[in-house]
Amino acid sequence: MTVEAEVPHTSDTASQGEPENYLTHETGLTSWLITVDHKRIGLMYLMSVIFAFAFGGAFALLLRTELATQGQTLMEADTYNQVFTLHGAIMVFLFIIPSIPGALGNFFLPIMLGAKDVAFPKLNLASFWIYVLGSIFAVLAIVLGHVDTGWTFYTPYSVGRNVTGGDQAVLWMTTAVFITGFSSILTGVNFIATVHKMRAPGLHWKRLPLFIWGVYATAVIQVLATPVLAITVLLLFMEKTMSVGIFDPQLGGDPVLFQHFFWFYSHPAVYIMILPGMAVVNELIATFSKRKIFGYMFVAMSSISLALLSFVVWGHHMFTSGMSEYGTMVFSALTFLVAIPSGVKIFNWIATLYEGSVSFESPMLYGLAFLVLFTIGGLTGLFLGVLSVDVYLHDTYFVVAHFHYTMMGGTVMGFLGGLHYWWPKMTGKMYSETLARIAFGFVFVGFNVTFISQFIMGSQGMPRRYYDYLDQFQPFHMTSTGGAYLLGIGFTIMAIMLVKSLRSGEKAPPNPWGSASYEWMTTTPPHPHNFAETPIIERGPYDYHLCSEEELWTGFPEDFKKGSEA
Amino acid sequence: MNETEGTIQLPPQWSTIAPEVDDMYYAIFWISVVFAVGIYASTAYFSWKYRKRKGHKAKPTGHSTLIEILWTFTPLILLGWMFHEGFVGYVEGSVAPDNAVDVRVRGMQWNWEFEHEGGVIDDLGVLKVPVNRPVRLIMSSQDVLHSFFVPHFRVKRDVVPGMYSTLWFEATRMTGSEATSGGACENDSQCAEGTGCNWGVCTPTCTTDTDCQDTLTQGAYCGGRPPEPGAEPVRRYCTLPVFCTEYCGAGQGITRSAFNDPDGPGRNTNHSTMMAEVHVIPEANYQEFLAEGPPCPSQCTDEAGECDPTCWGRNLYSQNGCNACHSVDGSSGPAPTWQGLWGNAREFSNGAEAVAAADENYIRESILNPGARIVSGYENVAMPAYRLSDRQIEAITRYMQSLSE
Amino acid sequence: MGHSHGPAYLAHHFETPKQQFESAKLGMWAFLSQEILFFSGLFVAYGIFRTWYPESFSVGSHLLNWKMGAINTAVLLGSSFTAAMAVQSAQKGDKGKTASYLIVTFLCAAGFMVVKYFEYSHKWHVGTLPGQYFGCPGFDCSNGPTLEFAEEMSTAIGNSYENFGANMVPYHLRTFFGIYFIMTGLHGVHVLIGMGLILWMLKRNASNEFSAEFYTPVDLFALYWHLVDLVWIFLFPLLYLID
Repeated sequence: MTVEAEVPHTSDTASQGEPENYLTHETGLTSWLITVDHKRIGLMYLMSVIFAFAFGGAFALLLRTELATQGQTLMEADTYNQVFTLHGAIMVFLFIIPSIPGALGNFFLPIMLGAKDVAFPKLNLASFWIYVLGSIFAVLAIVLGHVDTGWTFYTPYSVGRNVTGGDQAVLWMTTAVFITGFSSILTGVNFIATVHKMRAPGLHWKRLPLFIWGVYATAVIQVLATPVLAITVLLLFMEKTMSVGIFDPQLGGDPVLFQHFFWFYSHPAVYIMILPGMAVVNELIATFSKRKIFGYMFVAMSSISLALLSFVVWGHHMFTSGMSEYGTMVFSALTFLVAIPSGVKIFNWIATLYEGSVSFESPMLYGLAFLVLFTIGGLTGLFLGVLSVDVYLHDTYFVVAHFHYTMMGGTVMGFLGGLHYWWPKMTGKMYSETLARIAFGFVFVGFNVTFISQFIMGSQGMPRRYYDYLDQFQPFHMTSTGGAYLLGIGFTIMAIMLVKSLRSGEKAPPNPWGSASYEWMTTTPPHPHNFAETPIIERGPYDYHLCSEEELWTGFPEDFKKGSEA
Repeated sequence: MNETEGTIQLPPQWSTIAPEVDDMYYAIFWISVVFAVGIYASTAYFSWKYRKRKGHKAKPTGHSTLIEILWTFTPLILLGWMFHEGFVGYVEGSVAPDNAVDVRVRGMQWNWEFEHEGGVIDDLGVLKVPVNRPVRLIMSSQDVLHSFFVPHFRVKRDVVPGMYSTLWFEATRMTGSEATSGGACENDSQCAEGTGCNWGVCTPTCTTDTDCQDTLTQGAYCGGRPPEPGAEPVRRYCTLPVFCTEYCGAGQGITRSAFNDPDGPGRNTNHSTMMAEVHVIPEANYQEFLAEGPPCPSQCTDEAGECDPTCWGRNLYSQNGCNACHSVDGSSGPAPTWQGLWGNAREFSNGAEAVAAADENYIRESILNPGARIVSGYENVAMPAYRLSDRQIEAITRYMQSLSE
Repeated sequence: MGHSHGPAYLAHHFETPKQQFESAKLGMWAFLSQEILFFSGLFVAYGIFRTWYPESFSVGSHLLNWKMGAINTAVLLGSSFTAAMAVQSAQKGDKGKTASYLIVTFLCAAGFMVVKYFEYSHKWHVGTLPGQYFGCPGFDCSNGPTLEFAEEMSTAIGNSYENFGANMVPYHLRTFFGIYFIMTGLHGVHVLIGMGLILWMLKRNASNEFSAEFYTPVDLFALYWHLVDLVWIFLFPLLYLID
């Protein structure tokens, strides 16, 4: 890899002789709001999703507080229903789906490809603002009314004709979902074209970082699944405003059809959420083991096969909804196939640790946490794939705990790992490793306390979306709420740590983790066009044995030169 | 603890399919434990053994297609087995045996109504089933999606408006106290302290759910309704809970919406309190129940289990919506008031006789076949024919008598 | 960055015109595949409800004016041809011809929308509207169905594959018209967007942006336009021509 980022361009060089970077080469608010630079758009996404996460998290704490004791603790049943709907809708549509692709993907996908930008920078900006517009609609839905349908908008409850529930504000929320869906589609289109056509010379498919493979597989799902959600909410919109009789059984419609439509998107969406998390973990494990991911092609292909399989397993959300026995049989069998690529990833990551040189900086802690928690998430998925057991566990807290282990234990750990890992590159600042580890400790312990108790009460029969519960579940709920507070403390410490880093963090060297991956080869923070000159790729992203000591140097380049002269 | 009595993970087994579901659950559980331990141990061991330290350098990654293929495809065998077992169990659980007893179930925001064979409906939210006999539920919904779930039976099925869904189970144990060996009884005196004879079973009585955890079983719940504020305490029995697991909303502006709120109508006001109770009773008593109809509600029985029929009649009067047309205070309405009705001579605008005294037979006829004789001066407002049992009609009659005293 | 890295149409982040063209084309194909999935959802709904309520779909189809549909099909097919020709002229760098083909395409699209307008306004007027507004002229249900509505209905019922007698209006016509309006409506929105794109192409063509080396936007527009055409090719028989 030849990168001559240090070669100063006379007109580009900032006053102190620092190489030009994307943060400083233009200033002013509009230079951010209408930027077409994927890095700035990535940062704007990052801020938005963190904001959404904080919101969704606050709702989660409200929920857990309400559930800490039986009966009314904070709010009425009706309010509680709105709060869990908002927790779900915000976390799914405004946080997890855009989190890794929108923020980290936008920032690093072009850099890792050695490209100057994504294929369609203006579309990228449009996609961000469409996301913001969708979020505004979601906020309007919260302010104007009463969205209490759950994030799944199941009919006929959401249609709200002759039944209690289904406020008109559901229209605002579905509009928000419709709009953010387009943001997701456009990001997907952009990434597909970028990965196919914008790779630097020498960067053939077998040299693609596995992060790219994961985000690419995600993009395929985003493009092919999201439009079906758009149509679903459009039909729901029509049903609600004009009573056309598609989903409402009173008018000859079919509520189960809504579920089929909804899960045809929302199951692939689960992979829109988890694949990027896995993608990040690949980078973490490779960098902190200083070793190429074992079985590179198998891992890459496992992402692609997960993307493809995700389209044929939606029925497993509906085993108790009234499908035919044949339908359940096919969906159950296909569902088990999903375990294969997920298992492949786990096994190969462990094999990567073998004979590596493993260090435990905070990003790697999140990487290992992913491995630990996603294993539980995946294995508990087996219980839910087995038909007879699923009938028992369906719609209980067991399912709630299962998807939090995959979505939070998986995607959020991947996101946080990626955030810690790439933070120095994005901001040019280091953060306090001590605080980062303390925060990690709270998050990891808090997470397990919160959700292991939910597994137990779920298998004891505690149904989900319950405002109140029988005496027997009291200790589990209390424990779970305690865990949620630990999580809250962990995230607060993390927020403090990141703000401190921005305000007074040490200057970050270009490659603080000694990674061989391409994004670390540019300056920190990156050049406005990522690399001053288009890099020519001569090795894979994990070929540590082909790297010179200078390439893997974790300090500032000047110091290395001094060291080698001495 | 015996597994049928429940474990830390699963509630007690109460149906024929429960042991199969539990065996499968535990099979996957232990397979998962093996995998998880393997994964965690190797992660921990490799992370430690190959930790970064002076003089240690990562080796370039090798390549082994054999290993890749092995760990990609061998899990398929295990997965195939799990799929097969799960599917077989599922099919067994979805086809009811021919000799099953049918019960029609209607879900509505936020109640379950159980119509037993012959149209016998007990109190709202009370399901009675015979022990050791398959029961098939034919379920429909009046409004939104619901889902019928009894953890002890390990069964669950969505109740979807616009279609019927079915589910079956065979209860293997009565909901009686173990202290009296399964608990068959004919009256209270045969039952141990803290239990009452409830349809042939010595059933533990309770005031809170916690009471039932010890006296009946883990996961049991205290059925019936908490008494209205200021009312006499009523006898409540421990039962198995029925949950609604498909989200179905909440009434707006109902503040007292918790299960065990002493100050108000705790139950059946939202999704989480859409509760019902299952009583598993002896076959003979089930037949008696079908023949004689629902029992006197617990609000109207005293500590000894004696029924106050006037109270029962008053209950039926409001439960069945009689109050919409018939007043009990003499005020006029679309239909004759009940005050002073008993024993009076009635004049009719139709029917065989023009005049008759309001006696048991007249009242019975007016309930079961309302249009047969219309009192002069009233329109035929097409009052529906009520399917009430003899004992219920008797209770209503007694209530009417009390209004004429 | 150096501004000397290529012709004016080459965006700063691409290395070569070829890369730019291929990226754009691939992006468009990806976008079109989501369009197909988007309409697929509707076709699935159509298939399901037609299977459940064949009588409503039969009568509903006879309430549509197949002649207008046929004209629109012809118009759109023609416009697809002119769009392809516009691409060819752009490839040759023939600015004048490109403009004329684009204008003809635009006129066809406008013609399509005019016919659509007549169809829609007729339905608005008669009251063949979706859902609860079925039988409500102008979305106003206070006056009940008009005589015209009744006449159209009895003719359509008489012509449908199974005559139930003139008074038997199938209930699920409300669903049929829901599906009709959402399908043709979304398609119409796509036509309108296409018209906007043509105007934009014309403007760029007039300001000499296109050449034999750079005609990507016209090419992409044509791809989009063919898809819009293709969707209509399915809509027309499925909605207008069923028995």
